[in-house]
Amino acid sequence: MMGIDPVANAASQGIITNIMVLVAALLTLGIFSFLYKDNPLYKFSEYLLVGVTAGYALIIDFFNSIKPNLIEPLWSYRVIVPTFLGDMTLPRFLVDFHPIDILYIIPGILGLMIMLRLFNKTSKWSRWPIAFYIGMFAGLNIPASIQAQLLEQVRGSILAQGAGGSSVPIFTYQGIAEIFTRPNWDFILFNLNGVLMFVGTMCVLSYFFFSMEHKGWLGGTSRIGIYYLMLGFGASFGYTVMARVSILLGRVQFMIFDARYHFMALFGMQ
Amino acid sequence: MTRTVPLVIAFLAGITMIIQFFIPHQFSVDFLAWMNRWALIILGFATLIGLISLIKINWSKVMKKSSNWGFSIVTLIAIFTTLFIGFVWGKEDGSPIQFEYDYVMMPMQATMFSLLAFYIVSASFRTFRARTPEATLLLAGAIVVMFGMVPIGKYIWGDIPGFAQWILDVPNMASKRGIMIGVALGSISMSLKIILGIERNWLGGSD
Amino acid sequence: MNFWDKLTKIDRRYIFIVVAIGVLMPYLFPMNLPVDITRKVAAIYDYVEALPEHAKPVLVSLDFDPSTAPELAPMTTAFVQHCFRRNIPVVAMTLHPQGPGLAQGIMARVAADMGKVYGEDWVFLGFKAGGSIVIRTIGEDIRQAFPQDYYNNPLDSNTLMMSVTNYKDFSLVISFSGSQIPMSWIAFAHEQYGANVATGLTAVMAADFYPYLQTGQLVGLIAGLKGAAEYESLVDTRLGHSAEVQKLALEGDKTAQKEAQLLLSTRSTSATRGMDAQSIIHMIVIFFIIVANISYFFSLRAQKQEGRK
Repeated sequence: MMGIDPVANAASQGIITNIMVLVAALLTLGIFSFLYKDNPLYKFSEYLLVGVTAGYALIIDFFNSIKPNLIEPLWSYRVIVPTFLGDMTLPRFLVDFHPIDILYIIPGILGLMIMLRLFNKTSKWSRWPIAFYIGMFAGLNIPASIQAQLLEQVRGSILAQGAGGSSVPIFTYQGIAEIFTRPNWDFILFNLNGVLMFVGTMCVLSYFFFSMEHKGWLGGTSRIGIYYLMLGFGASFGYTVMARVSILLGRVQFMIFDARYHFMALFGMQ
Repeated sequence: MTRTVPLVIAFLAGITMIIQFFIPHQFSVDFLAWMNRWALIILGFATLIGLISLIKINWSKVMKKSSNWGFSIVTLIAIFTTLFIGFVWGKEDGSPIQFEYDYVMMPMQATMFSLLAFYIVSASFRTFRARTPEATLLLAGAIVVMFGMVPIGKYIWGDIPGFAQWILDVPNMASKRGIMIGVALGSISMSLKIILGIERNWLGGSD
Repeated sequence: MNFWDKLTKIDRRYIFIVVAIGVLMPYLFPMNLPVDITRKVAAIYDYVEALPEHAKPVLVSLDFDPSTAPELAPMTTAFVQHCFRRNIPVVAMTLHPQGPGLAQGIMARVAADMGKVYGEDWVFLGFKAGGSIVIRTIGEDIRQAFPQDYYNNPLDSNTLMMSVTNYKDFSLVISFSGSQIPMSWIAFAHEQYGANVATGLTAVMAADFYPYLQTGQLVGLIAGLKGAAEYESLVDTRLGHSAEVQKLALEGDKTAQKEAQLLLSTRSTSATRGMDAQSIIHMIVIFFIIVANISYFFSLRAQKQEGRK
């Protein structure tokens, strides 16, 4: 690391990289120009992004999903067949069908069936592959949600993690009573937190119970639930501001440092 | 055929996935891997539908010379160029499509997201009003958490990071837990309804 | 229209200029404010510190793409540096289709900086499609999910992987992600296979994961750029080194001046540097909210007074 000049480092990456970094910088400025007002440079960048993203998504899906799971297994079992046109290499299942081939052909057929969605008359046949996909992930979701998001969260409303992985109640009657006998601020907060967490969770759940009108006791608890929700959304907003600014900082750092060094390297500046 | 068979497929796929979760045998793991392969293949073809729809829309804009049709040409050229370089040279490190990703797609995508930073500040100024007690609480929570999350907050009021952390640990946690339990119950019931064929909106159409 | 009404209807481009100045200022006038460490980040740090040297490897899943890298790359770098410093091997992977290049770049750079050997101290498995299904498959046998590593070597050709079969052979599983994938890590790796799971998240997602922290389903949580800055200061990757070099640079040492410039440029990608700009922007947002509400209340009062007339 000692003695490495960032401009020399940028120059060593090659002229193609220098140019591409500047292209990236121009496109970045093009998108940022929207902050002033909509303009042709922004529109160009936006439409370019749409096209590149769509094309890239298909390339990734082809190489990560279709090629290794469908094409390669079927092609790996290939045979040379003499025909009147000469010797041809064909997937084995076209010539000599084995039961194992079904495991590869069926998803291929389902994949082609989903393409039928593009035509009004045949779109109803695309329901078969959609049914497989939706059914599979519905089934995958049920045990995972029950375990991680339902049972554990209900448990967490009553029990907290204690020392050495043990479980302790989130609040106890003795703890609450000691608030009055030993009024220490930290101790009060520690014991009250459990009560507040439990009450908050119950009240938020009562807010989302729409089978009864929110009147009387249910109206009261749902109002408390709304207050908890507002604090939660406020916290989320604070975090969201931080997240968005972080992405902006990434771009600013790219422009101030990377783009500048590559520009200097391309034009031989120091 | 086009309504009954999909319901049977959804039922069989869902039930086998639920049962598979509880069977620790090697056969069960292999079965899961197969199901995954099938889902990935279907998903791959589904991506193609999206791409074809995008091409159709932009092509018709060019043919009809609708507004901004010139930019639709940019989209079409971008799609076909990306597909060409991707299929011809592959997607390995150092390939042209990787270059395109690193220096065209990623910078623009990240910059699009970063515009939100400006708009979130602008929206806060123009619309974030303490009109009701609930809105005031939301505002107060946001301000305390924003103060508490940055180093400068401690210099304004020493206890603010602790107070912000309390908001995150207690009321925020309770509200998110309530939402999570509600969403979990909803998603479990919706998944069961799909598997059992009670929920059929995903079939679409009337035939 | 009175002054307060005009203020609330100000052209938003003026607000954008203020934001732009706020973001650029720390690069001209660095503040270097120290970062407070929170319990949820310290929990991960303490967990790794408590592991014996040459403990079982840590599984690091870099489930993000370059668009969320400004938040997640610094925390990933700091965490991997921590593991390497404690001589704990790292097995890296990604569940994001646009993640392999970025993940490989981060791992290779940190390993080269710390003199770690591929195959013995670290292995990169690459990308596998399937998300939660891959997570479940690793729980049975990692070789079913990844028969080869990223460089197409059979898994057993790496010394490190010879003693690894499933989650029982990992000290910790940590997912750095900008999406909901950590929920799958919790639901399957932790609940089904008993793995200890931690996560690093973008700030947008972080507030939603506090319930998992409270139940103990997560060992700890690194949230956003602030969390990354906290972990960096715990691992102490940059601050001490740069102070020493900058002192020499001020004394006229040419080599130190160049290294200071490099550190300035590389430090630009550290989360700690980004917290200066975060501080300014947060203050700007809070100021705008307060001013907007003051003007709202004055407008309301003016309307009520006009109504009475």
